[in-house]
Amino acid sequence: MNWLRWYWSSRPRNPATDQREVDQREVQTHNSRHILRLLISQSARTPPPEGAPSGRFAHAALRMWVPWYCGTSLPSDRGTSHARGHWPRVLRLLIPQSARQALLALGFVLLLLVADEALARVGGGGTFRAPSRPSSSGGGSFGGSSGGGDGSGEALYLLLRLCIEYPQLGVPLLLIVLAFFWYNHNQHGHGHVSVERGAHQERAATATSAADPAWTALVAHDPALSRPVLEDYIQLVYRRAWAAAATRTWEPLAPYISDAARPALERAVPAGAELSELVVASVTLQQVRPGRDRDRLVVGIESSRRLAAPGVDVRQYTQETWVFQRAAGAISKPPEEALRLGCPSCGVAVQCDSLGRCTSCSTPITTGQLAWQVASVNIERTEPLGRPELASSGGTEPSWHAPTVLAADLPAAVRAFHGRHPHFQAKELNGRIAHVFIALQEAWGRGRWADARPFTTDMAWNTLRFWMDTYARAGLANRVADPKIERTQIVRVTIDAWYESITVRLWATMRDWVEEAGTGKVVGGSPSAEHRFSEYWTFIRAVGSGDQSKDPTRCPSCGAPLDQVNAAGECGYCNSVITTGKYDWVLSRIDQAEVYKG
Amino acid sequence: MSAPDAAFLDAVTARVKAIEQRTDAEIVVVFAGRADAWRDRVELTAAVGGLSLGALLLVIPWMLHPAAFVVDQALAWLLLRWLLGRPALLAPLLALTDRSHRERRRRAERAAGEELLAEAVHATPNRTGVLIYVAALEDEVVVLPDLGVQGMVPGGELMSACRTFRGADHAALLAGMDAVASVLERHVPLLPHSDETDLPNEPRVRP
Repeated sequence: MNWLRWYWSSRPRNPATDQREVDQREVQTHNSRHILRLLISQSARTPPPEGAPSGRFAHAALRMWVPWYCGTSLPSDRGTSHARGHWPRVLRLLIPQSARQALLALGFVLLLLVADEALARVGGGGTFRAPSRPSSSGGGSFGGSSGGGDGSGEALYLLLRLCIEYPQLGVPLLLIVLAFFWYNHNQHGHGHVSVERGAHQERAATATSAADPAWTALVAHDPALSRPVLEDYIQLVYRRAWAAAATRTWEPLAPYISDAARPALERAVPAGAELSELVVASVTLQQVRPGRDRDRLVVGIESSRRLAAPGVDVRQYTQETWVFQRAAGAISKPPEEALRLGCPSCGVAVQCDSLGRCTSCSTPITTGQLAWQVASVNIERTEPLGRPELASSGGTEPSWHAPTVLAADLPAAVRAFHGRHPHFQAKELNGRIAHVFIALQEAWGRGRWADARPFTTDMAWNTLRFWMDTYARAGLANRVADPKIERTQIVRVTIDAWYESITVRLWATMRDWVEEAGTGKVVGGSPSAEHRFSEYWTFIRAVGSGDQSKDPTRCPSCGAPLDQVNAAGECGYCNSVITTGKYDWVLSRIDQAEVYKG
Repeated sequence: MSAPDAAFLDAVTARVKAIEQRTDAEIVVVFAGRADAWRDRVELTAAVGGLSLGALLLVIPWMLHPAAFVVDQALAWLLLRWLLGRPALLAPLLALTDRSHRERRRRAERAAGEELLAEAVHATPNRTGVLIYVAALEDEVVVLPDLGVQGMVPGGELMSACRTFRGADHAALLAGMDAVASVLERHVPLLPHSDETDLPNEPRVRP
C-alpha cells in the first residue's frame, strides 16, 4: 500500500483540507469498526458450529482478531465479557491504517472461504434470499435461532459497503468473491438442477440408495466398464493367479499380476504343493478409488481350496484383499476380449520382452497401462474349512420386515427401460423370476446344484456351490421343500455398456432344514415349520438380446431340454453358452435383505 | 475441426441417406461451432488477469490515483473477457485448463442431450433415432442413441465405433459414421415398410 501513502503525502497541504481528511479518516475508521461490529453480531456472537472444524476455527479466529482491531469487547462463550487487552492497542498504534485495511480484506476473504459452513448453518439455510436486516446495536440478539441466510446476506451487504467506502480494496475483493461463487456454481452444475437433486435425495433418504459416487465417477471416465464383466474378470484373474502361484509360471499373466503381488501368493503355496478345487465364495468390491494417475479397486475375496503336499492334504478357507489398479483413462475391453486374458492391446497370447512390451504389438503392457492389474495381495485369514452354521428352526426372519431399499432413480430407470423395450411385460419377468427361484431351490434341496447352472452366472453359481460343497464335506445336507414366492418388487434397474440388470426384492416361504446325509437325522432348521425370508435377487441380461425366451425349461438358443448344461454354462446340444445373459435373464447375485444397501 | 463447407455437408447428407437405407435407425447430424460458451472459464481467467494487474500496480514505482487503480482493473477484466471469448483464444485456454478433455466431453454430451430434444430425435416411432453431435471448438464428437437403440445396441460396441471419430477431421467424421452404421446395421436391421425417412437427412449447423 506504499503507493497510497505516497499519494496522500505528496498532495499539497491545506489546513482545511487536512482537517477534512482527518475527519474523513475518523469517519472511515468509525465505519470500519461499524462493519466489524456487524460481523461480530453475525458471527462472533453466534455459538461455534458443531462438527465443522473449519467453522470452529473461523469462529475462534474471528473472536481473537476482531476485538483488537475495532476496540470493542466480545461476550465470552460463558457469558462474561473479555477485558480489553493492552497488546491490541499497541498493535493498533504500530500497524498503519492501510495495513489494517488489508487485514480487514484478508479476514473478510478468510471469513467467506473458511466459514462458509458456519454462515450457512446459522439458520440451516445456505441460500442468499431475503436477509432480514439485523440491528447492530443489540448484543446477542442473533442467536442460533436467527433466520436462514442472514449471515450470507449480511456478508454481501458488508462487501458492497466495503466497495463504496474502500473501493481500492472492495472492488478487487468483490471480483474475487464473484469469481469464487461463479466457479463454485459451475463446479456444482446449474442451481436448479442441484436443488432438485438435493430435494429428491432428501425425500428418499429413508428408503432409497444412491449409486456409489466413486463407481459413477469411474464409469463416467470409462463408459465401457461393466460390473458383471468386472466381477467375472476378477474371478478369472484370481483363479489364474493361484494356479500360476502353484507352478511359478507368471509370464502369461504379466499384464495382470504385478511383480509386487506375486511373493504373497507364492508364500501361501509351498513349492511342489498341488492346489486344486479352488472355489470362489464371494467377490466384494470394497472400495473404488478413481485417481489422477491410477484408478484402484479394493476387492475382498473369500474362497476355499485344497492344498496337497507331501505329508499334507488340507482344505482351506481364506479371506483375502486384492488391490487392482489401472492407468487412469484406460477404457475397458468388451467382455470376450477382457476375459481372454491375452495381450490387453492386441489380444494375442501374452509374450513380453525385457522392457515389458508385447512382442507382437510392442505396446508396454506390464504395469497396468491398459487393463486392471493386481497391485497387491493380502491374505488376511487362512483356516481349515469348518462346519457351516446351521439354519434356525423356521419362523419369520428379520429380513421379512426390513424396509425395502429402492434406487433413487428407480422411476426414471423404469420409464427408460420401457422405452428401450416397448414390448416388455412385467408378468413375463415375474414368471422368469419364479421359475428360476423354484429351480434353484429344488436343485439346492436335492443336492444337485448342476441343475441350477442354466439360470445363474458363473459368479452366482460358484458362490452357491461353495456353500453346498461346505455342507457336503461336513456330512450334511440342506433340504428345502415347498418353496413359494409371496410377492416381488423391482428395486433397481440399471444399464451399462453390455448388460441390463434388474434387482428384485422377493418375499418367499419354504420349509428349510439341515440333516445328516447318512442318517437323515435333523440337526438344524425344521422340516415342518414354515420359514419366511426376504432377499434381493439381481438378474442380468445382455443388451440387445431381444425378447425373453418363451419356454424357460428349454435352451434359449436351440430349444433342447436343459439337461445337458455343463459347468461352463454350455448347452450340450448346441454348445452355446447360455449363462451370460445373452439369451435371457440369469441370476447374477443374491443379497440378504438385512445387508442390502442398493 | 474446421467449419463444414457446402460440399462436405452434401457428402454428409448423402452418407446419412445411405445409412438409413440399411438400418431402421434415424441419423441426425449436428455441427456446432462450440458446445458451450465456457463463460465460467472466461470470467475466471479475466478476473485473475484483472487482479494480477492490480497486484502489479501495487508494486510499480509510479504513483496512481486510486480511481485509476480500480478503472485499470475493470478495463483489464473487460478486455480479457472479450478477448478470451473469441474461439482463437478460447481453444488454447481450454487446452491449458482441461488437459484430460473430461470437461469438454461432459459439456459436449450435455449439449448433445439438448439437441436430441431440440431436433426431436426422440420422436421417431420406434425410438430409433441416433444423434451425431460434432463440437468443433471442443474437438469432440458425441453419438447419442435414443432409448430404442440403447435397448438393441450394446453401448460398448457403439463406443468402440465412436473411437473412429478420434482426431476428428472431415474424413474421420465420415469414417466414424460408417463405423456407427455398421453397428446399427447389425443390431437395428431395416424393418419392412420402414424405409420412409422420418427426419431430414441434412446436417444442422449451429454457430
